[in-house]
Amino acid sequence: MKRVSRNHGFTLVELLVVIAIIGILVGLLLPAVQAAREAARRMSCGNNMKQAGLAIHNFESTYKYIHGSERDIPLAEQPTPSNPYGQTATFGTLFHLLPYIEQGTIYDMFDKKRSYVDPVNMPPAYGTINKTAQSPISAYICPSTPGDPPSDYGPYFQANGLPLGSIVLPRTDYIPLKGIHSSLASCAAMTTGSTKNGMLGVTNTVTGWKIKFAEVTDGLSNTICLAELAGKQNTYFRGKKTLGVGFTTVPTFAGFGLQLNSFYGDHNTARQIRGYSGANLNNIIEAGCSSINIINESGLYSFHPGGAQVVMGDGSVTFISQTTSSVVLASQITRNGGETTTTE
Amino acid sequence: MNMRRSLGRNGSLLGLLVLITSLTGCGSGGLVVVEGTVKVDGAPTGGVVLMFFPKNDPNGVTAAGTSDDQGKFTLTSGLDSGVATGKYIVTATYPDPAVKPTAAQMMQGTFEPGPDLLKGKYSKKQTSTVEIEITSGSKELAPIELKKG
Repeated sequence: MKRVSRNHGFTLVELLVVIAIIGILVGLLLPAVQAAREAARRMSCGNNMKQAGLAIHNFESTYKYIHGSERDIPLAEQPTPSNPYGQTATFGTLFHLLPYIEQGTIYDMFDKKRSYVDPVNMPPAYGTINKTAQSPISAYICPSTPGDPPSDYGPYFQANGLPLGSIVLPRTDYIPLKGIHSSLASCAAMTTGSTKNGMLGVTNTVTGWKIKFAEVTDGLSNTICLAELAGKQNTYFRGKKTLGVGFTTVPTFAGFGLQLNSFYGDHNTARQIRGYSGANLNNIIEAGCSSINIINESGLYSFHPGGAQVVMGDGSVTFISQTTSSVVLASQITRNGGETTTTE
Repeated sequence: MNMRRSLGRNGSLLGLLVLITSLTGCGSGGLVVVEGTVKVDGAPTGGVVLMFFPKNDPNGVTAAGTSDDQGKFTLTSGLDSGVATGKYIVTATYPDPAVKPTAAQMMQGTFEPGPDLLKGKYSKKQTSTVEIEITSGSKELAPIELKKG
């Protein structure tokens, strides 16, 4: 048989089949490329959290305690002149980790004996601190979080009767855990109500802000220390930005025209983790038993598919699936609950 | 002849690919979507928070739902609608709807729901007497009757 392959072209059907196969392969590949990019961002995000976890241990090596999430310095004990607006709440855990993530220069610019909303610690026009003190800390930002505007404290200050104007402070996507909220406690069949016995929770904010590792009786590797609560400069409800939409029955920060406080030094970033129903956009804090990736208010919230990352007390970073039961999650948050569960 | 055979081979390959891609979709995870009604002193009531605790799995996922104005509720497990089959201990609380959060409470995450109008009678898994079994055929649950007094 004589071959005529040199003159043999492709038929239309063969071409169509090849194009169809290529189309299917590209269709399979493109989502995979996107997923790989997200996986890389998640890894970078987890690495940031690991740095914070190591910083906590280095801090503990120096001081033999960890700095709790909340602390109040009474006005009388502040240097003169004390805060003319009367706030006493001072910097939280993440701020005190700055020297341990090589940001000591920024740490030194603030007056730690005063509130973080004292004019001495605030940028112009409201305060007097050098603007470079408000540089973003990249280690506290998760790359998976959409690049939205930074945290503006102007409306919050206005709501508290303070001077007007935009006050932009560097945000964090990671939060210290204060405890569990009563809504999550009831999902876990705990009869405690809301607690402040998270790893960084403080009951007496004036005298009790030093937490010793020995107080974490559930074990450092069984207790969540920091968690992702990302994108707080906007309200996200189940992955969608919902600022200004549909808040009718219950006022929310968006309904008040506010953003959730997200300055890394702000003690309000520490949360009692709630259980949400996740079903009602008109009442985003409606009680239920879902805590992960529902809303970035007082739950765990990340932009990773399937769950959120946490730093355990021993400094390790773990991914917690959003199907984790409330019982397991709540027992991982409490530092002295006496439970025996693990997230595995 | 030659061409037809290669077309047949390519065609079956294509068919196989289409079949595989259509089969890799995800299943529903075995959750049953159920609907129920909650009545307080005989009247359908909105705002009642129901929690379904798996009776035989103390670490299992707690399903939850809140009734609407007609007293109707559906259950959610984690992010998914529905509830797994099995026996459940049900708790119910009816937080006073008059208690609303303030701006400061929202900012600090410290808002606590109002006092339970059922006086805590059904609020604890340890003491609740309401038990419901969910089977794969469950659709509409029998009304859950609660009393204030």
